[in-house]
Amino acid sequence: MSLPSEPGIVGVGEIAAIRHPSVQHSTTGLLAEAIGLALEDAGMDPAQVDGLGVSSFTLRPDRAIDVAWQLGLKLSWCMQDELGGASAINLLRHAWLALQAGHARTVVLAGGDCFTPSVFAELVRGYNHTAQQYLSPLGCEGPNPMFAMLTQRQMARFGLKREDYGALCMAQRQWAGANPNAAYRQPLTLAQYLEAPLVSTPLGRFDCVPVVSGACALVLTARPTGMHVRLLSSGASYNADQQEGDGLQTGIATFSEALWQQAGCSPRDVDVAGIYDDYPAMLLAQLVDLGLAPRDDLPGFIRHELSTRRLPVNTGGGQLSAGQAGMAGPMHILAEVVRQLLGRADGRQVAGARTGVATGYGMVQLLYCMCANAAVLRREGA
Amino acid sequence: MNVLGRPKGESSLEEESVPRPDDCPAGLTLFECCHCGHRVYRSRVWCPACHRPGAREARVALAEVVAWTHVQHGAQAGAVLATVRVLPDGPALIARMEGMPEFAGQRLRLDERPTQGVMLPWAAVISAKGSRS
Repeated sequence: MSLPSEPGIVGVGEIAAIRHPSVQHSTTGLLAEAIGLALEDAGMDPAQVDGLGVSSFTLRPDRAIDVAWQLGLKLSWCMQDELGGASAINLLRHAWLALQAGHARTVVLAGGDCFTPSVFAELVRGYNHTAQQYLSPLGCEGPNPMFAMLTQRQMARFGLKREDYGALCMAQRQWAGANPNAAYRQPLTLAQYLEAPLVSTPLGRFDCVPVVSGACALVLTARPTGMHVRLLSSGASYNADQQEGDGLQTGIATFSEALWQQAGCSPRDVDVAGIYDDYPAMLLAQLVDLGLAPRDDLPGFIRHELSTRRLPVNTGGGQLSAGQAGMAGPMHILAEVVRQLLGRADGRQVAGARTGVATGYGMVQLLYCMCANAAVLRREGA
Repeated sequence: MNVLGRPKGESSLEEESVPRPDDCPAGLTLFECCHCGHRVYRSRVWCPACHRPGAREARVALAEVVAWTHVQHGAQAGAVLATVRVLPDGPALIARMEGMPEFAGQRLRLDERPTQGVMLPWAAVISAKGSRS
């Protein structure tokens, strides 16, 4: 009789954000670079990989299996994910089950995109049929106007001011200062935040993620031996309210209680958090849904927990400062938590980080995003 | 939200007379499930409430402001957009604004206008005073 195997995450790889990709850059090339770094970090060889999960907008017309072919990987498990900001944790959940079931022994998960300005504009304008046929022609192009309106409502409901969002962005920029891969590393002042051009009221330039190109990867094994990161619990909520809800509460609220219960710990135990930060407002919404931030004092929470680093959130700078490289963005959020738990966050390591939580949030529809998920992670074998 | 508690049957087109292009019929077409009456915008293949196909068109004209934004950057700079809730029972949708809303809950008149070649929802404030129920 064999005991159920307990997989682990054993390696992280991420390339530096590319602000202006050249003709030499390709999505497959960026993914390959990140996968190579992750395998090196794990001390493993490409020949050991038998599972591959890929998320990318710009890989087309290639698919995950074409990436395997390009890299010479022979697989018994392969999948592709297109859940946008929720793709990394969706891939993680599937890969975990595959490893437990014995469908693969070593899985690489990679997210990446290569954007020229025109490729990105085309992507957001035709993101889905709703965007293509309704929102874009209406003048609601890309997610900024939609999240501007959610931010306006969050400000009114929770008594938040632009200065509060500014403090959040400044805290993440401070973290980015120690991440050599981040697109923006210079400290951000409140004056710079407030004086930056408005994008869509009340959102200014620093409330919107800078679009970059890049890739990020994780390596998981079925039976880790040394230091590794274990998935204690995870939850997902996709199209839970059919776009007929409030939008300021994400799907995370529907499973948060079960998430902590299954993990056997509570929000108080979190040493490091990776919260999907497409906009500061949605980062706060997810922190509330997870039970990490109080509903009744978000300005105080930003001041006392985020600015002081009492709660380390998005220690790589998040997408707001490190940049959003398409589907490398959600992988970056997850990977940074893993990196911290593995003790490999040089220059920004949270001392003694043992328990972490990561979230994903993505796929805009009529009014807000449809997909949210989260994972509670713990360092093992140290 | 102050949608609840408002008396039904207020969707009257006579309340206002904001100018609009002559070729645009007043009001916006929603989709109402033939089986359970649930209303959506845009149309869906199955009703999200009862999961059955089949919807009829339903004309509405009155809505209230939920939130709004003034686009400042990019190809759509200058556009004013609003999340509006169709009165009395929804749904919420994003409409292009004629003019600028002043507060959440402000009453709007809806119509459809050809926008980049597509008939899409527009909204205009009914009166400067509005209604803060």
